[in-house]
Amino acid sequence: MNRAQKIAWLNLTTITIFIILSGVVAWVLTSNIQIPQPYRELLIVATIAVLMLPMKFARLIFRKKPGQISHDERDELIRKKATLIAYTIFWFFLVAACMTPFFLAGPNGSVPSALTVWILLGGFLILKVSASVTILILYSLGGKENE
Amino acid sequence: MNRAQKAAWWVVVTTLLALTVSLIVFCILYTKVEFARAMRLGFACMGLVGLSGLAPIIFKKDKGKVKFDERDKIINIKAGRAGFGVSYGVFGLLSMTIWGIVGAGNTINVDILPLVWVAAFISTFFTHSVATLILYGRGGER
Repeated sequence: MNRAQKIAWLNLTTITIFIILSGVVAWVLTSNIQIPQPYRELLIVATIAVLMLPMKFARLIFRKKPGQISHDERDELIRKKATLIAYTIFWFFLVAACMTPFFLAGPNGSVPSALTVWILLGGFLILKVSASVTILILYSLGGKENE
Repeated sequence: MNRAQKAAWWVVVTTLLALTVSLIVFCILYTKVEFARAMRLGFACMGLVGLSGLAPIIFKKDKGKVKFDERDKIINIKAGRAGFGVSYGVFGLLSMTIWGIVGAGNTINVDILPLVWVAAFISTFFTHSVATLILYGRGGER
């Protein structure tokens, strides 16, 4: 696997762990388990950190090897295609996520203000997952020549 | 200018025109009707941006054998990526601003959500056009 593939796998693994952890934290926070208020907020911050930190430092975790060409024209082309596909899928998600509450609640309805933040987070996850999956598929189409 | 540049200018002009008309309508109606209604009516004027879709009809294909070469394709892709990137930023900014102003435990009117994604949608095409003009400008007259 080259560096881009490793980073893509890291993103997918991190997002999977984040989704599982979020479910557990949500269950803990809504259950009868007594947790003091500062620790409840710390739990939420820690969950977000589990998502953000590995993706943010992925390029430090998987460093470029000195003396080797880590990124050529084919890698750049794959990265550009993955970006375009990811944003296309993101836009489908964005329109669906914004219009579904509109049709469910009706034009005079109201929704929680936090819904906008949830849609933003969902859009971010959709972007990362789409880009990572596209990168892995496009690299796999080329065989082992990129390793 | 080639067809892509002319279309880009058309999009920029229609978007700025729509924005100006929206602001004027909002300012006029602000003192006459309630704030939310004035904002909706002002934002409805952004529908003028739809005129930018007439660009392929207004600007005919360039004369000559090569109408869209590799450089045009690269510029279009780069501009598209710039447009998408800015749209995500606009959406993020609007989402966090709404949440910050309204507050965590409160509710918002559901018709704000379509307005948010339409604003991001318009910013996508506007940024795509501006990026197209900038990238063509770097290449000189050729």
